[in-house]
Amino acid sequence: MTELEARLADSADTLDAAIEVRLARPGAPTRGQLRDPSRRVVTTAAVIVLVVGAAVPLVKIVSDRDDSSPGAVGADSSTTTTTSLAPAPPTISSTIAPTTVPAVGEPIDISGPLAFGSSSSDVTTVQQRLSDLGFFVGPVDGEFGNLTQMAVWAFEKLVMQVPRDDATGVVTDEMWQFMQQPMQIQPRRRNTAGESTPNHTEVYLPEQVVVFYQNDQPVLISHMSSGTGGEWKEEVTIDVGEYGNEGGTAPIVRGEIGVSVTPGGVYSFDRMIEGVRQSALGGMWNPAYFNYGIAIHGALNVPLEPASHGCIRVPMKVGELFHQFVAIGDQVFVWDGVKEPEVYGDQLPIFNRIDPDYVAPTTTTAPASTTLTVADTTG
Amino acid sequence: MIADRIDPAAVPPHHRSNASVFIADAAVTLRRALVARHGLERGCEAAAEAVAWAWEHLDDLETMANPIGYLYRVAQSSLRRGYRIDRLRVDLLPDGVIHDAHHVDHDLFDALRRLTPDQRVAVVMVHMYGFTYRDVAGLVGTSEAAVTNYVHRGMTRLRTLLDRKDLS
Repeated sequence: MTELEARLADSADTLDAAIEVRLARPGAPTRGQLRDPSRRVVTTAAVIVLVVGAAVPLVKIVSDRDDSSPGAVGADSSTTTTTSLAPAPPTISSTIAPTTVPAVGEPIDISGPLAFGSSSSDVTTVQQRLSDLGFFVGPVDGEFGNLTQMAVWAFEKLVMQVPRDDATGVVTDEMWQFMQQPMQIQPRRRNTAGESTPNHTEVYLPEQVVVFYQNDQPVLISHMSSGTGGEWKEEVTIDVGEYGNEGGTAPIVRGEIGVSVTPGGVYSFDRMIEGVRQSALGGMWNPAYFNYGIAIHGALNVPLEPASHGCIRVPMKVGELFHQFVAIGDQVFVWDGVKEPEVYGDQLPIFNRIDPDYVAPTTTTAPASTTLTVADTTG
Repeated sequence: MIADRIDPAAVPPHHRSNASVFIADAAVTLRRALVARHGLERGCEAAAEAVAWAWEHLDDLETMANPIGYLYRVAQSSLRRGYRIDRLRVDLLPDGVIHDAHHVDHDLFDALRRLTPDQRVAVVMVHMYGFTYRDVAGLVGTSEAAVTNYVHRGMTRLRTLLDRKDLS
């Protein structure tokens, strides 16, 4: 055996040790491990514990709730939840469980429906209530603006279980009575149960709501907009120094094709950038990356429907705030409404590819189309 | 250690009493080969993909002549979906993975990174883990002659790289 062969043979244990470390890394197990039947038993057992744990507060809400209140989880559905869930994985709605703790004093009425543009002391009351629950309403100033509207959307979708397309952003008296009930948003994964890091983020794709938790308390709840699920084909500009153009001297403009998907799974934040970042697909404010190019970031356009290239867009003001609640290494759980995040583990995004049919625009037509595409394509 | 170095492909799964033994063995081999090829992170990811696929297609595996070679291709395809990351640098031993770092032959791992992916897999599997040329050929789906070439050229390149290192 030559010296080199001996060195190689001696290094086998090093490489094996590195693989062991990688496999034992805290966080989600890889998909392959989860599908191993011997591990599947363990996973199912964990799910049952979780559901039993979640079922207790669920029952409590039902007893606290007025049955006629809008969106209330009916007594029937939660009873079946508790009894039927043991063999099957829990449905997503069963674990949402906005449970109740603090009371809100005497119920009060509001004069009429409040909507975008309203301005009154009733708006202040609603804003204060939403803010107390953890929803981000911006300044509590009695002005029903964009941020208040998004907070109402988030409340409707997350707590009242309104399908995201049906969210109105209008606070009716009925909704206000519901909002005044004692309630608290609880995480689906609890640090106290050893299911998450002390501070963690939960992204609910079906509801399009993101919640930042610290020690299982919701500190910031926001409406959001994630990947559309469709394929996009666009002209992208990669600035000098960015990924794909690290050593270049001029920005690269090329056609790319990608799929705007935000995959479900368990991740952790691995890169955070303060301020604006101009990515190939557009500008982002304060991005916090958790899955390769997928980040939670502030954006100007955060509509009710999924609209991004795969990132999680939150309103700019939330983008300014949320970095104080998260740190590199904190877990991010993404529910896609199909399976629990742990089933996926740290699922890779779908990476972009170069558009083979891309033709660089000629100088006469370039300005209009270029400006439009770049300005419109916030990650 | 010795048991780990037995190529599971040498024993067809239908001769085994337990599919999980086959898959557990295959997982070890796949991880080593794929880590050699793609680096620690992506290699482990790809191996996990292949193992997941294996659990879901046990019946198909039973009928295959070279199941581990097939699983290797499954893993490769799973990475190809995200081809952009192929351009990332291949890191067999990312910084900080091994705490007791002074026992690590850093020069050797640095030099390995500069081989072609095919050479790296062949050299690592043959000289690090003691696989035969035939085992490696079955695993990566090529001929023994090609593996011989990869190993030969890889070892030559490694020697050059390491000699240069010694001089500098």
